[in-house]
Amino acid sequence: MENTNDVFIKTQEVKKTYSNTVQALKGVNVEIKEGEIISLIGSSGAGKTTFLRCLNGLIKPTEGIIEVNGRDITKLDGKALRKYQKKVGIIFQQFNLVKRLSVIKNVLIGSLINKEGKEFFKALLGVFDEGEKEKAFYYLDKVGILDQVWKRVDQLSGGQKQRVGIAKTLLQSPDLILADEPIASLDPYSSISVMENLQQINKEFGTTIIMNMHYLDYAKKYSTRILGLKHGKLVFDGTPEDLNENAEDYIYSGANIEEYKAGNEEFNIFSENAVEQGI
Amino acid sequence: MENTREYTLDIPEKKEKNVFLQLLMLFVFVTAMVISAVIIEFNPFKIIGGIKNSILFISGFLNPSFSRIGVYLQACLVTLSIAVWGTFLAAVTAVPLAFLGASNMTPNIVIYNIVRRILDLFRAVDILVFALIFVVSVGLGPFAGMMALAIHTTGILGKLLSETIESIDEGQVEGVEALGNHPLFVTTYGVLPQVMPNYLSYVLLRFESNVRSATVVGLVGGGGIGFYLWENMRSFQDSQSATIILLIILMVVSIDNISKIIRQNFI
Repeated sequence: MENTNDVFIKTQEVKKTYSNTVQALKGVNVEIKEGEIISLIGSSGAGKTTFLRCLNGLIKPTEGIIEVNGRDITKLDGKALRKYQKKVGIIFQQFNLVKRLSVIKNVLIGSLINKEGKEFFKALLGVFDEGEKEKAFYYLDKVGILDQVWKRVDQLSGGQKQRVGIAKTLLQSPDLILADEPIASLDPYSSISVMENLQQINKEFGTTIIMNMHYLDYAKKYSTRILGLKHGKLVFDGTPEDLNENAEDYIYSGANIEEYKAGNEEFNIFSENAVEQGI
Repeated sequence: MENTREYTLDIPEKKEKNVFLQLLMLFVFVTAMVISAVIIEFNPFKIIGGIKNSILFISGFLNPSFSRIGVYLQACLVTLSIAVWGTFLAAVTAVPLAFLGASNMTPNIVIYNIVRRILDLFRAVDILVFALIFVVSVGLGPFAGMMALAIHTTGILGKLLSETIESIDEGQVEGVEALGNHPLFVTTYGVLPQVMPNYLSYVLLRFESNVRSATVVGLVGGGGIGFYLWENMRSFQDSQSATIILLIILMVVSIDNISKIIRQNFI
């Protein structure tokens, strides 16, 4: 994927209604370029997790199109969908590592996606060759937890677990990394460490990163762009500098834009939708 | 300072226990117990009446006969083999059935229901009854006993494993699946590590139970030490019976301890 100035991801009127009639996304339109680090902010229930999962094909939108490099991923299923997912790394708030397996085995799960033929069967039995293990060691070292390599994952702290998740994602060599509240379960030091890792990956490999973020100071410090979701719609699209206190207040409050503007100073929202729909 | 605290607490209403319902349930319970006691001719005094016979039998224990110890040891080996193979076959067969019978892993609801009913059937019929059935179809001997054990144990292990599979942490599975991994990898790396240690423990526990069951299938023609026990008891050979029972106890206790050591140290 080499089109650095063309649009990498483009979503059009993406809507998602869950079966219990909850409308999580009400029409999200956004264009994302390669190499961006994007923080997706908004209160709980605003649709952040739903949107992120749509980008990975874990959830299918009820309506709308998501184009990645020109291809509509909402139409993909089965093997084709898995082929797309191999290029998307995902980091979870609850880590989602296999607790009973060792760190090295968990990282190697990132390499399973490319296996075929004899390698496939060897991997089913848990056999990996030295070259692969060395790559895993390299990435574990890069995130700073090589010394934990043989330990079972359930013996690690939260910060260490998340770094295992990052090493696993690195082994995948993805073009896009999605992170769903990657530091929400971590202490401040681990949080900084994880964010620095992500930033470094973006700098070194040019990987596009989209993360759901609760902590606005981290969002502002580590992103190039901020998207604000509110009640399933995109109400803010700007740089960290644009996200001033009023903008933050508005994104997280229950008031619609008119009510909000009536009582407060001006602030910038770079998304037309918000004003049009009177959110 | 005046003490004029006048506030009323808004205590939510507590649901009144239905006393009548509880008394009714107690009554039904007591009635059921009384009726079944009558049906089974419950009579503690029968034990007193049977003391003389019991003493005669117990005296046999005080001098067990080792004249046929060779035969019995060989039969115990047969019993153990029945238990080993019965448990092993069940342990292997139960795995695919458990996956099909787990609501989060099954390909479709029809298969899920069919498999669940089959497992229920295997569990519902006791090993002894299966042993009788197999003796009729494949003839007397250890093979019939082994098959009986295998089928019943498949039902038990299958149900246990399917419930274990249904209660796994889906997040760990998602951590493998979200990368676009092949379903076989998702199962091997996401599901199996969560269920295998428990499953192996269950298998060993079942093995302990199956050694006991294997001793008994001999009573209905399923091979092993059970046959000799039956033969000697019905011809009142108390010394021989004592030897056999002692051997059985020894065998079962040894297996239990070995199993405990394995479970505590290796699983």
